[in-house]
Amino acid sequence: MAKKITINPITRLEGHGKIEIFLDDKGNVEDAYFQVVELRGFERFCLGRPVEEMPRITPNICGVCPTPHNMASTKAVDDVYSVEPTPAAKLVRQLHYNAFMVEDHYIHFFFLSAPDFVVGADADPAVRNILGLIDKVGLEIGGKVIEVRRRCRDIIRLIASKPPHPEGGLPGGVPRGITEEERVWIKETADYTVDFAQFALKLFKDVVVADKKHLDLVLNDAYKLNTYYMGLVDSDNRVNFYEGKLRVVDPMGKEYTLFDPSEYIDHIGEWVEPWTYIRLTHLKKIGWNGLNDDAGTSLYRVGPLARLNAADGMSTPLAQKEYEAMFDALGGRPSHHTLAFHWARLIEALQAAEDMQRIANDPLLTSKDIRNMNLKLKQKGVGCVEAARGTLIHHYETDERGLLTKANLIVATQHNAAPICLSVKKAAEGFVKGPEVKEGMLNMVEMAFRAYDPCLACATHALPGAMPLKVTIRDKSGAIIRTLSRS
Amino acid sequence: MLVGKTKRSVTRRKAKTLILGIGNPILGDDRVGHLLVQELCSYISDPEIELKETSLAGLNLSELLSGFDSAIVIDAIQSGGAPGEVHCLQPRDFHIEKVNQYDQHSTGLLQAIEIGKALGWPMPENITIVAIEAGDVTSFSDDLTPDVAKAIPVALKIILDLLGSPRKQEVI
Repeated sequence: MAKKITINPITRLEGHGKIEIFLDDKGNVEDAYFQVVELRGFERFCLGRPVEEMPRITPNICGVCPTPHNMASTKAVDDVYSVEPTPAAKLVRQLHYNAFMVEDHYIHFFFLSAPDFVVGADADPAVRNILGLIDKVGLEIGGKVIEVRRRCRDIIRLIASKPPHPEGGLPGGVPRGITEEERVWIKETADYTVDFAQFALKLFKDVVVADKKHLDLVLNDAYKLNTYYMGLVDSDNRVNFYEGKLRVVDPMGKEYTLFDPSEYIDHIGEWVEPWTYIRLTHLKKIGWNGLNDDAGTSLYRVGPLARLNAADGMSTPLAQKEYEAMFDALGGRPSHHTLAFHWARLIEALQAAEDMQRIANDPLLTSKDIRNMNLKLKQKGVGCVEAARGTLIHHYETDERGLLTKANLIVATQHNAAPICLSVKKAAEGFVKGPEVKEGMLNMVEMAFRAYDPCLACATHALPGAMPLKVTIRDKSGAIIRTLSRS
Repeated sequence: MLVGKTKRSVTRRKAKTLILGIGNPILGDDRVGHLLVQELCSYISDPEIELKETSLAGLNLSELLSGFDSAIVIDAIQSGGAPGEVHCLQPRDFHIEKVNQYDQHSTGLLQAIEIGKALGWPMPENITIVAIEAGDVTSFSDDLTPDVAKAIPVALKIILDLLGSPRKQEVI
């Protein structure tokens, strides 16, 4: 009898996101889909508002990754007003952004990923979480994670009033500069963060890379997907979170295209399928070739591993060494191993920390020249940053008064939506066998999903708390024949 | 070697009670917690009561709650009741199943409390949840649906009665 398995990992707004796995009559995986519930009316909500309000509005889209929305929005407003921030303002923005990348990457790694490796992918779900992790590694390490996060949030608070939902975001600059006194403690935080970043990477290598069982899991074909990769790079093709050109490499690692983010419409196609509200992105010039990672695929991935795959290296020395070590261990670049997103995430956090050091040591940081007021409304602008989860694009158009007439956003989870479907399908094919679907099997499937840290632009805070994961098995007629929960 | 000393980021606060409005402020009825806290500012002047609004998730919630003796959390809820219905609940009223990951996206209020305790933070001993049944939480909007808007004075009175503290003015 054919069955449908539903994994619904999202919070209060039940149905905001779910994975559906369809089994055939023999209990083998036939298909898998990643679906979200549509949040309606965002563009309508924005239309008619002054474009400079967008950096304050867009961070509220998401309770998890607001700083990238604030920064992409601010850069789009720069573009709408044809203005470049002053060099000092750019440093302040980059400091803000790096501080966010550090705290977000560590929260993801220690809360979401590490329990699978440190506590164990097949461990009892009641302990396979941050609490189980603290039990295993000790409260001291937990305290260090909290401390590095607190310090980075202090930087965000200083620059943008309140973390994580930043206020401010001015075309051509920043609302406030950095004093010498502030620079001193920012440098201390940067030094602390670089030390912690190295510690976190050592922990990962000790626990995962040095353990054959874990490394085999990372390298398992069930977690492998042959896609293109996209990420922002600087003029030397090194990873950049804040600016640059978007570089796409093919599944062999060869540059496929390099373009300015303002030209995204020429390169990124959006495909509509009846089973999802997400417009599935793909490489437009290849055309939509469906959900597959065959030779003709037009799918690309974004996010930590994708950025490292798409670049020729990191922009800081310690991160560069780690980049080389990772690709050596994974068998070269590009790496198609989805679980290596976690490793790449930690290397990126190290780059962000080192870049904070660079900025903190730059005398220009304390310059009072923080605003370029040479604004000239051109009525159209695109802003692009690398969010922790992947490339984020904001595109605005206005009338002659600067009031919004169009707002289009492409978020990381949209870029990754089709690959997530495929990753889940492959993992399910690899681990779900037969009619008896066990808890451990499902966690192996969820690990493929979690590696992307998909962000569904939903309100994630609310009552009555986290929804438990539910697995609903249905027969062909849709009737529920069994429900599994994680209680 | 890590530089600096690791110290607990959360300490005891001056105020003893936190009133925390939770919600996405641009997502229709989900903003009801924010609006109620804004309303409460006109009624409460007790320095031992702190009013806050947030749309945060995950560990942020643990941090916000820590350091207070008690908390009143105001939020929208969808539990099958009629839109605008106001519930006054305790954490024990929720049937919370253990999830396999306390992650950023799925950490709710009660998990946040548990995480805070595990980290050794002083979490409120008494937490009351004032939950307003929401109509629409999937449409971006500055406005509440009519039934939820009508619930504002009802919820306001419940919260002020819970506090039992002197008010600057009576609820109209």
